[in-house]
Amino acid sequence: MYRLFLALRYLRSRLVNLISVGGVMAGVAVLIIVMCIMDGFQARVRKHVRGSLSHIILTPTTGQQAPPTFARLEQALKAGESHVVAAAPQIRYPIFYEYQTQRQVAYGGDGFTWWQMEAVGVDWEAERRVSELADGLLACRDPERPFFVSREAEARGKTTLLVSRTFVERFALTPYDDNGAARYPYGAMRDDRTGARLEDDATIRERAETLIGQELQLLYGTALKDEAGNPRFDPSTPIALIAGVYDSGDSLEDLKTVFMDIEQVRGMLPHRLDHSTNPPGRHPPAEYLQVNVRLDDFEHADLVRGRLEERLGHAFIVETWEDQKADFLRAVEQEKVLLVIVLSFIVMLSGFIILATLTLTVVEKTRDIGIVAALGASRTGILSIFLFNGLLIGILGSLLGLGLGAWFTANVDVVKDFLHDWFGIDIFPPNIYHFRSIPTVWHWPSVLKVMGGSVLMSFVAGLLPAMRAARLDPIKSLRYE
Amino acid sequence: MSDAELPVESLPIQPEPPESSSLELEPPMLEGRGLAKSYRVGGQRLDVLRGVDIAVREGEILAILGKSGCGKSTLLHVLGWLDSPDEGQILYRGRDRATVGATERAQLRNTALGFVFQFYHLLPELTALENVLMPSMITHGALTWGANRRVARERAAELVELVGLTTRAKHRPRQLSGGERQRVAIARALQNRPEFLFCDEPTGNLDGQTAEDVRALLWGLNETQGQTMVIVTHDAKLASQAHRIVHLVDGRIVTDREPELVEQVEL
Repeated sequence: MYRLFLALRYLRSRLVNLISVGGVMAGVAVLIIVMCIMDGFQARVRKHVRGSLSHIILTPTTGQQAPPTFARLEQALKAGESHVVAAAPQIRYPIFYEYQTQRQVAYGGDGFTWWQMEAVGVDWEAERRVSELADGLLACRDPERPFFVSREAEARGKTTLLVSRTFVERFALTPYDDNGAARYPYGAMRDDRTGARLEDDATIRERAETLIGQELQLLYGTALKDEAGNPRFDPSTPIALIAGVYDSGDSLEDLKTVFMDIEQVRGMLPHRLDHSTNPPGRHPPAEYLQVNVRLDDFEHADLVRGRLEERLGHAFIVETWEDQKADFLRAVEQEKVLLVIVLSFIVMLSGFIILATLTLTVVEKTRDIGIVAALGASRTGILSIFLFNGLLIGILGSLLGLGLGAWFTANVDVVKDFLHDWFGIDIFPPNIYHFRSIPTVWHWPSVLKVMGGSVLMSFVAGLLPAMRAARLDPIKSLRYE
Repeated sequence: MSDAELPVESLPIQPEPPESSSLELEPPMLEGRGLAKSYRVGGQRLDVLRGVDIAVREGEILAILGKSGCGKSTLLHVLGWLDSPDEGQILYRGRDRATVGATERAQLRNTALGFVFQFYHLLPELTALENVLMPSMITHGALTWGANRRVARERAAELVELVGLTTRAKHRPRQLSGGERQRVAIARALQNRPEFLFCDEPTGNLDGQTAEDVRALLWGLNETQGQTMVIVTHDAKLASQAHRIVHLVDGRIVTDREPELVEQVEL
């Protein structure tokens, strides 16, 4: 009983012991906080990276047999797979956004340049069941028909598209007043005074609304064959109308993606992709160039991919969205692991604090060790006093660290705002991460691992001083003054 | 230094047993034979004990009298199984210290041998009562402590009362005077009802009245419970009240006789 009793008493009455508890607490708290933020970051990144991608992506390949029509494919998918919820066709085609800069104007140039993008043609009815794009719509005339701008535009067959919020930001898109002056000097998605990114949801939606009907100059090429059968590149330069603004959450992808109606993109396709002009037997259907499949749960993605590969593998590339983004996701995971390794050194450091503290305590308590030995404590008993002391520091420090970490994690935005307001530090600059709030995920297994690790470490750190204490000669210790 | 070279150390006077003569027939409770011990101080050999033969019988108060530095404390530590002799044998109830393992020695110190140290040696972080409780805490592990705590606490409270410190039970050693610390140390030594009590200068740092109180306490234990004791002291007056006196000079016992004779020698 005296072992725990004395260990507790030493812990309570020696300031250095409390300091090392603080050390362990700091280490554990920092590690927990960073892990929670990194886990949250990872989860958020996964969500954002997924963006408009769906669970499983089927890409048809050319072959002797034409791939099935979408209707037949969808039927087959739903009939054969209980996990399949919906499927949607897509056609993706590269286009350019043409815009003018001020760069060359002074030298007599017109300053035009081109931004390469992908026009993603979607069948809205199907798409909204497969992806979260509908949730990301910030503004459009009619959520049922987001590509609709006006009857007149429709009648004239105008190209209409959804642009992303980040795209608007990047190119400072703005509506113009009657005199042709920009209504928002920094673009519709930035503050008029500071040029800072808008944060308020209502303002964002309100301003996105004003962009509807604005014109964008597009450029794309259609490869055709002339009479002699030689390929010929036909540039088209339609002026498209903004039908709405979306934000999928993946800012990088958004910057290079506009959504259009699938029929309009089909119209841009080069001849090789248009089976009506191709010789039979070597053409993918222009009906779709990709089919996105939504499952009841992403957990089943690998299973379903396996089955689909078996059934459709001869005609389709079957991928999960994670396959498509595997490198990026791996990089994020690597970053987390690296950070945790680096921060583990903090916990190791607190181990050394414990080592130093207990070494000091053993020296300081040499006489007490002699007394306790004289009263009949065995060597293992004396060993345990200091082992317990180390363990108690570890356990107490871990528990306090857990508390601090939990508090910090729960109030991370308060802390973020505090750092921002008082020191001007942005831990997650919104223009880089596009997070309104810092994401955190409380993952008990990781938290317990951190705590267990530091308790184990405090045990190991206590071993050396404890063994030293146990080796002391009680009589010499008694003489120690 | 071999035994043959040693001068005669103990006079052939048989110690008078305190109460009954039947004790005379029993073997001594504690016996040291040819105890020698030396330290190395600054590269020099310092012989502290140079062949000590000593025996203590049950129920006896034996005083070891000597000047400071003559090896009294070392002898007491060796007798109390705290320290090992370089040469010679130390037997407690017939068992040789050299043949007993460390764990068992620790157990014996805990349950059978009580120590009152010269400098009290209380644990500074603990209250007086907790200091007294310490031997019981050492006896009982964390698992059995719950069952024995009440009894141990009662015993400790009794002892604190016995030494007259009930009002100071919650005080830390540094809040106590020298005499009070000494009394706490005595109470702690008695906590586990040891059969044998070792006292190192129990009155050394105390003023006249306190010293007398402590003496009366120890002698009272001997009278009421037949407590066996070895007391190391440089105080001839205290020693004179023991049943038997051993005079230690330069690591050797020069007299081993009854108090009256010592007083005559001293005077």
